[in-house]
Amino acid sequence: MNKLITLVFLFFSTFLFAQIPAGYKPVKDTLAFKQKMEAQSKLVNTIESDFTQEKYLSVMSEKIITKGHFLFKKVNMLRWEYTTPLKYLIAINKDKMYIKDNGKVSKYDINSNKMFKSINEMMVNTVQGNLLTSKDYKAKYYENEKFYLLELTPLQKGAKDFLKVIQLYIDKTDYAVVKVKMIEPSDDYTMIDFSNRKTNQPIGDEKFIVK
Amino acid sequence: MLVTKQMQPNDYRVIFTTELGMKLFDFEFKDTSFTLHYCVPQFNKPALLKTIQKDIQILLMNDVKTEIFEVFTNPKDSCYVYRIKNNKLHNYYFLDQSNKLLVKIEHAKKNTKKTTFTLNNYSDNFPSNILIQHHDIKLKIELNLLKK
Repeated sequence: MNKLITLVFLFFSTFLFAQIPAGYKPVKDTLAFKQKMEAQSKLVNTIESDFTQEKYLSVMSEKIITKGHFLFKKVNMLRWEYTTPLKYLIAINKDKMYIKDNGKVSKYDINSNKMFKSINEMMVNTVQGNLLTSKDYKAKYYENEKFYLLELTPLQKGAKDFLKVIQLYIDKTDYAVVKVKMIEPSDDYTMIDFSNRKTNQPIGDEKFIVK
Repeated sequence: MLVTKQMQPNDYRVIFTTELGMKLFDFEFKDTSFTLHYCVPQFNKPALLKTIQKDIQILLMNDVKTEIFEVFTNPKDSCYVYRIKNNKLHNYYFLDQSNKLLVKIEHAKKNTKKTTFTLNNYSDNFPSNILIQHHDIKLKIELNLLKK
């Protein structure tokens, strides 16, 4: 009988805690965290950082690693550039989007295409850590000694088709996004690690125009 | 980006992703059969899927071993030309006479070219650039080798 109770208890405890990422506990005062995050984001006018992107596909034995550099400037200017092993550049300048692939530049009007609009919103909000105020995602908040971990589940049907959850790792000392993991419904994922992050260094507007 | 892996001889997994990591297609080509494991809803159009499937099938040459082929030589560009019947159409595989490397594939109906595949810049018997040019529809696929 005792054994049975233990088993039932174990079952329930696993069930209850299965959702919480290992090593993390839920944030108690989420409102205070959100306010702090928002206040910090207001202080940041430019961001410059290197990044390493890791693509995991369950059928492939090797991860696909790409590296690059990004620049961000308020409001709504982003330059996202892959340098190894391929050269590929996406720049967002308010309502314009540029893609440079193989030396060829294409220019788009962001408002003309729903998909470009959502890519733009996701990229700009992710680097700023602003996704938590979006109504398109349901947010859960966790923390350990070093990081806050935000788990965002998309609510819109279009996004749900290719995205199960976005995890944002936020440094507790400066509220900077240090890592983003985008998990697909199939559990394949894309992980982006940021390094050499500098904020509020002057960045010229011309960096966000691609010719 | 295109990622391929040979699971077994004659069994290839071919995955297309965007630079940002979003998966577009996940195909499997085993012998002459084809499985669609995933397709992003925006690209789930039968005509587009069929075209890409056919292009990759021609490139992988999974069906070549079982078919009967004819060989020609073309003195103009010093190539051996292998003609292989593919349904009602023909695939012409152009092999360089000196190094036996595949340099071009033409997919044609009678005398009308439908698709041309150009394979360039070989290193270790593997092409670094592949260009797939469709003549009947506006579609060009350019593949550059990143890593083997």
